[in-house]
Amino acid sequence: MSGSTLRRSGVLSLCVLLAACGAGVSRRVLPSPHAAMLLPEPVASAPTLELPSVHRAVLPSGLVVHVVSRPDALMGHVALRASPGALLSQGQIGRDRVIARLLEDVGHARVSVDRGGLRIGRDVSLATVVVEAARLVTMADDPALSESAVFRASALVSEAQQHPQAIDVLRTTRLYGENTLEGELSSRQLRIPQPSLLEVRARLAELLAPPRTSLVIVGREPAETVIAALTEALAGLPEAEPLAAAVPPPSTLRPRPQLHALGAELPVALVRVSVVGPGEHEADAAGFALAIRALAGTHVSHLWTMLRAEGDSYVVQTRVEPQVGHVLATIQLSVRPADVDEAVTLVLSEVARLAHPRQISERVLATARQLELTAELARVERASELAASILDAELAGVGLEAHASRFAALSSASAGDVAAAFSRYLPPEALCIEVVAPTDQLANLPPVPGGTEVSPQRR
Amino acid sequence: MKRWTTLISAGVTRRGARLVVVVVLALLAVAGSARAQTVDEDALAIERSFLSLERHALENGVLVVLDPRAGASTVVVEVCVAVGTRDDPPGRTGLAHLGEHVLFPEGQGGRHHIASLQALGGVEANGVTLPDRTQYFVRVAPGALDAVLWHEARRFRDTLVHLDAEGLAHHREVVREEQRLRRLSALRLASRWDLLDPEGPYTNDEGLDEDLDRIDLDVMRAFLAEAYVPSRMTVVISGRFEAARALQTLEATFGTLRAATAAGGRPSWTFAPFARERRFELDRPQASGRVTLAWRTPVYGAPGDAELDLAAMAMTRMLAERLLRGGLALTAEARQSSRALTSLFILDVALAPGATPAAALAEIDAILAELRAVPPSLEALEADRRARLHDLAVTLDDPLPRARLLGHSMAAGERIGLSYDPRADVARYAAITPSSLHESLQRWLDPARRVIAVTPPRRPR
Repeated sequence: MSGSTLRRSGVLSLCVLLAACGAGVSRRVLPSPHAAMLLPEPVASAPTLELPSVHRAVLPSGLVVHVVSRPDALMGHVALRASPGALLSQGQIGRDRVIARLLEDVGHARVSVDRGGLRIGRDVSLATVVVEAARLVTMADDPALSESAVFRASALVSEAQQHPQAIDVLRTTRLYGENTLEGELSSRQLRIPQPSLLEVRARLAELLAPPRTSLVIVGREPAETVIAALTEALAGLPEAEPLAAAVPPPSTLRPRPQLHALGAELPVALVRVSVVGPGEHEADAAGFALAIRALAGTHVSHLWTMLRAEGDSYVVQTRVEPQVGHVLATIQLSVRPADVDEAVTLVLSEVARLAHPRQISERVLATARQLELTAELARVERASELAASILDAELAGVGLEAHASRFAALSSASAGDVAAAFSRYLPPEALCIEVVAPTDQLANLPPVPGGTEVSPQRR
Repeated sequence: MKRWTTLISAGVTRRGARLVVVVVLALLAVAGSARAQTVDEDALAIERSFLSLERHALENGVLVVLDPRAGASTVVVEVCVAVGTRDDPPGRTGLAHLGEHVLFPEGQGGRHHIASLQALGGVEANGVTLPDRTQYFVRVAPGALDAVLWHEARRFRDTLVHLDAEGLAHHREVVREEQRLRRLSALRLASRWDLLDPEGPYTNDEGLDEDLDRIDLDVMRAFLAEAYVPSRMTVVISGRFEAARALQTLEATFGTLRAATAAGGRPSWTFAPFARERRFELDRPQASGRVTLAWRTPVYGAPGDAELDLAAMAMTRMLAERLLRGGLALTAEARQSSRALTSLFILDVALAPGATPAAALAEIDAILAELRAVPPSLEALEADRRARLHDLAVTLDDPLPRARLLGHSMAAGERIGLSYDPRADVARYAAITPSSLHESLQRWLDPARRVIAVTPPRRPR
């Protein structure tokens, strides 16, 4: 904690004390008008994870199909991952982003492009899960694709490029190194082409070729019925040669600068801290997930308490996004512009402090653990997230049962495991820090090991 | 066959075309039986999902909705209180919103309320203040349900007891901060009822700065004592739990809150469509220019409301065909946004680069005239009905949005003023005919009684 925060804490405490002594009315404790509760505070029992059974089949075309049958489901979900390996090469990303937007528009689907390829998911009616699953696989030939839809998708992606997300570029180059797929995916300089419909169909056919594609169907019908119907529907699907080569793993380069500050006249200042962690199914993944929670993801974490108690920050958010072979963790703070330097200092001191097991209190660890466990339960409950988990597990070469191992690891992770994750993945020099604040506040930012770059004022 | 000719000329390769024919024929064979079943399948699934639903009233007036679902992994607790921004008295805008924040006490017993919920594994814990109601919700593992009910009841029991000037001042600053952040995000006119319908009942969604300063400790205490009474509360539990046990826990927790009658009536408001057409231009350009239209339409569950849901789907389809494919728009959507005192039918179009608002508006008017001239075909109506039921099924499949929907709708009539019950939705949509839909379009989407708002495009840098 910086000196000025300490000073302000002292002043604040004095004010509070004076207010408490002088303003008798404000400190009055009213009698409760309610009757006493009829039971003592109950104790929660430990959560348990029940994974749904997943039926896996490979169709004659080579298409891998996973079916989950949920008798109580109100709707179905179909999801597909196309893993084209080296086909997803650099230089194609602009076009693939247009294609992803096109599929969102025409296919009413959620689409993402990442190192593993293309992932598409869609909620569907229970009665049409097979039809919609087949439609997803044969999207390249979908009659709904049109030249005007391609034009619109290009325009929308170009427009999105103009949004003020410049700081994303620094983050990806800092975290993954220059000239990488991730860098290209988030680049504002990316050239967004307007491909022809013919080019779109050809590219989709290439990406969605069966042996490189996995499909998940979540519905109510028994798996055998679904697979039989799908086999019939996709009987005409040709085979394609599988591709062995994959996109190389992310670089560990950390080019300077580590802290990027952007001048902007905003009523609040934003601080975003990002870091790359282990893949979800790796041995130390549980420790890392709990470390991020312990740092800022609970209302009892020291960082949250300090920022909130001092009134420096309204929003303290953490997010861990599963990526292929790693996770991207983000801590985002919105703070009073005058306090932006203290917020950055506090983050840096916290990651250093929490690398020691004794600094991770039992209360913080228990809260972090409970939150992660409930989040895991919710994940297998939502059809879309369940489907995504199945596809990610397939890509990682593990089954859905890997989630049970993750659940067990989360349940038993110790303060030592969490501190080890801080040491390995969250040393101060590994953090990528972005600050958006009024220019006159940027001069006081603390020094960081990887250097600071200040960009001029944006309007 | 014309369709296939178009398809092939649009760029399908010869091999691809053969594949299309094979795959589509196969799909049609599979879908043949599915098509006839679709409505029944979704409708049945929705109706079946309500079979275990129970509604109770505790002695002190708290309504309870128990919605056990065997297939769920988590359980959601939602408390819906029938007080919202429309209850804010003049000169005290923001009172209900600030009240919601105060109900997340910080430091009570050394803990923020959310911290207590998080210690139980409570994720997605939050509150939201809406014009009609304030909702508090949290998702937990089934084994934490009793403890969460205990903590939620304690929130409503003890906040008034412990509230002090310092705590209120802190929450006031948090609300201000929230408003500053909200102003940072892009302004979407389609969600700004205060601009689209400034004379309507939902104009003071956000507290004004000076009004927040006028909400002192006495005002807040009086508000909590009068508004947060059992007769305004509905507790919904949805997900994996045992109903009988949950009811026992509710009686031992929420059942101990002192019964009291809500003081004062809510501001009265009589629904009427806009009297005339009103046009205005927003002075804050956005990346894409936008054209937004709105009509006042029947309230949630009233005759015409369901018809306009389907009309919005038909309108969205035609906007896609004409504005999107015609190169006039990047996105185009219509929706019936239903509330208790008035609904708004909102049509929102993001203009394509180079397209003018006038050209888009002319095309929208042409579509509107066509829809008002001829009833829809039965086939189109069925497709829209299927799509609507599907949207409903998506909402009802996840315990959190399901609990939030049940929270305000099952507190019908006396609590919020709604005459809407989601259990009747399947029947509501099944009763719509081409002529009833057409009649609603003609009656409610009158071109002479609407708002037209234009957001100019930002000039490229």
